[in-house]
Amino acid sequence: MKILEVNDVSKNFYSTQALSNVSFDLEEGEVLALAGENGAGKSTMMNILLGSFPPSKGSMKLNGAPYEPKNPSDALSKGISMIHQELCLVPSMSVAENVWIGRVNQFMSHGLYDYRKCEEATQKLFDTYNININPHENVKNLSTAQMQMVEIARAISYDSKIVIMDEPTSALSDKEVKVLYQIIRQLTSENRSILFISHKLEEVFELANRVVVFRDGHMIVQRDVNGLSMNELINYIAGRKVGNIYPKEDVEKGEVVLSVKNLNKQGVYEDINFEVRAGEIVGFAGLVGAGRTEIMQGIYGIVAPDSGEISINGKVVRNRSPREGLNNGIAMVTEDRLRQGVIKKMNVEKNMTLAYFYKICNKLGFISQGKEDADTEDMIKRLSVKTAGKDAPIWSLSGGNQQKVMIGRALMTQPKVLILDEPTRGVDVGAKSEIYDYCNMMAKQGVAIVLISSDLPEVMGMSDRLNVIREGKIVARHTYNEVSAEQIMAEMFGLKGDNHVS
Amino acid sequence: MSAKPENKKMSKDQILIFFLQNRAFLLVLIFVLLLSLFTSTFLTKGNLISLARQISANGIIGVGYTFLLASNSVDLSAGYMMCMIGIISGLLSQTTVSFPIILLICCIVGIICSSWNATIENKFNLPPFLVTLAMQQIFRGTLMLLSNGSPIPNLDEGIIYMGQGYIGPIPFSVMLMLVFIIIGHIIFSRTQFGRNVIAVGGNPEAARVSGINVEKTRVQVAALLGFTIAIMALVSCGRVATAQTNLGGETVMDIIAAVVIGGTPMGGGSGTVVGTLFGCLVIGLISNGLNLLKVSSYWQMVSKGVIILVAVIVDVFSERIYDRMRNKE
Repeated sequence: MKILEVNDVSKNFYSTQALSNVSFDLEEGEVLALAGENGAGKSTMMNILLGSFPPSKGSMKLNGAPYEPKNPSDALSKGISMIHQELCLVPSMSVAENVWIGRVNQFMSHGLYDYRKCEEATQKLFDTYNININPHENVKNLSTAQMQMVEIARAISYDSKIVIMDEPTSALSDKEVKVLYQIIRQLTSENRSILFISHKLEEVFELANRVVVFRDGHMIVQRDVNGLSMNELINYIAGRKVGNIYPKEDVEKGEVVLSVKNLNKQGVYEDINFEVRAGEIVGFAGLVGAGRTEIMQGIYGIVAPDSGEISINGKVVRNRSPREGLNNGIAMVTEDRLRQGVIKKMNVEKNMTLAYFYKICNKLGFISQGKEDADTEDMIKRLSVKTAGKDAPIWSLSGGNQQKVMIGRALMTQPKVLILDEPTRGVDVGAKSEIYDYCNMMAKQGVAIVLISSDLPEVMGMSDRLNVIREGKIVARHTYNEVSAEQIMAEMFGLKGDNHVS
Repeated sequence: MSAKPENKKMSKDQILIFFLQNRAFLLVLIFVLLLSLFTSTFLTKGNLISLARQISANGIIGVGYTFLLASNSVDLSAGYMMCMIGIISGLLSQTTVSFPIILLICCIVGIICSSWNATIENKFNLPPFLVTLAMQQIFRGTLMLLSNGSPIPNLDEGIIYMGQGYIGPIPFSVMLMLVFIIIGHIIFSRTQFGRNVIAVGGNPEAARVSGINVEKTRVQVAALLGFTIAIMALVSCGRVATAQTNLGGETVMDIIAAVVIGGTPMGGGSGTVVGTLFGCLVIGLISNGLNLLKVSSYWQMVSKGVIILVAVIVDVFSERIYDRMRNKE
């Protein structure tokens, strides 16, 4: 029996289409895996199911009745609970109170809250599912894995018909993963259904009955895991793009500009070695959290590495702060535009010149207004930023044009090395291709470019050389057009060589 | 066709934003109008000069405080720091130390104490609210220890001139305030330092990644504030010719109110030094007007509190209007 049906659901954020016409269904008592790259639309779909925001188009049915959750607690009361990727526990409260958070009023005796009743109920729940944690313990004394188990126990305790699990095993050790697998099997035997998101494809094969694959906001396929091979699944996830939307131009390469030797940061990345020549675009592929961003932050000076050597044009440099990185000729467009990029209250001009205005100050610290205005207008023209003018507030621009301002901010410093971290995230197709054009333009001017992207076809289509990062190490190096998306995907996920598509 | 009503709504928002941005100026206009209608004494030369002298001390520290709020910080200890510096100047007046040295020592004490606040906030990553709340008690205790709890009369003549002197028909303190406002305005809007301040207040992470030294900027802002606190201490002690011990609490409230009413938001990221002048005028007009109308000073406290509350609500409210405009995009 179908417990959940999703029909033609679409979701737009402003001009960005996050989901287009997604349909799938969930049977009673099955484990349905959701697979796809970062940004493929899985999280958006889950947020719609939970009622965090409504779909722009389409409908959903729960038990055959129309399902329109207003907010997460409404979804919860209708029988859908979720285990979040991030831990959402109150550290100062006990395990039991965290499990029953918001519902402790069912444990009253003589009009007062009775913590013993609450802990008894928790123990009973833990016994049923073989969880070995003391309900009386304070959550702040638990290990991350134990906290994740508490989170799982909480989601189960709602007796919901559907439990959504967003990468539940990422924080668990092998032993606890086994317990989780047991819990999942027990839940399905109670006729409850599981929606399981995971980047570990082995888990999909181990646990799921069926799998839905997302790519670029589209539902690619829903099918039985039985009879599906790992290669087929990777094919679905990576996909094949039609035509070449990446206007890669052949640029003459110059001398080595950026050279990185033995860069280490304990527990984050190790033994990173690579070089970038003038006019060259070197791409970095890898899953979110593999350490790509952290390596570049180390080179630019946001978080200094523990050891290693960075040289620019043959000269060894040490970047202990972004200012030093800028002074040594490195500029970085950071991945998180909201947190590390735009300053909401500033206008376009001040945002654009933020990394550069100190260079056009006189000895007394006065900014040369004429030069700032002229340079800003010049850059707005060069990058064809769509804005009402340099004095327009930054928030009046679309995401793509805000991103252009961020790129303009980096270009104004006239860098020798330009690091672009997810430069096209949350950007519409038109602005995307313009950003690729800037890459080519800068390469032609002899800038060494480092491109990080979770969009595999993009990073493959734009890079002269491509490094694959997994768990803080460079695990493979390729040159342009030499390798298939499937192989890179396998390297990103860390699958064995025999799974490669030749 | 359908775009038309939306345009109309946009312009309605824009009118609202114009009023909100110039709220201090409009409030001053309204108060002046009302007071000249309902009292006969308001528009006399004597009253206007005494009003200007009343606000001059707040106007001076308001410059430093505008930078502070714009950098998304706050300082609750400013009032007692001012009192403490006043007492120090009073003690120095009893010795043979000359006025320039007194001035120098007071400025150094102000700069060091205020930078100390920012340094602790940076080092231990603490909210300014907590650090300055504690420091306020420390300054208060220190000033009581220094003065034995009683005000100090017989101040140096230089200090008295700062509070009571005249240049032609205009009080020296008012001239000093105008100089501070003008220089402050230029620094805020035209220099690298001013730009660093609003960048740090607007989004410290983005500022840091763009090469701005966030910690250093915060200490510089605090040092500037400390300097204005020291000058303000001398002006306000000079005005009454006594170093007072008990003005600390009220002063901070008045200044925060003046800066926020003037148009510098509590959350930082923007600011206006000239607006702060009008904010000080609003606060001054409330006291002055209610005095002229012979309203009890207790009612003055209540009404000041109400005005501050309204100012903060308007501050949040204008953010919401901005958000609404943003979401329309």
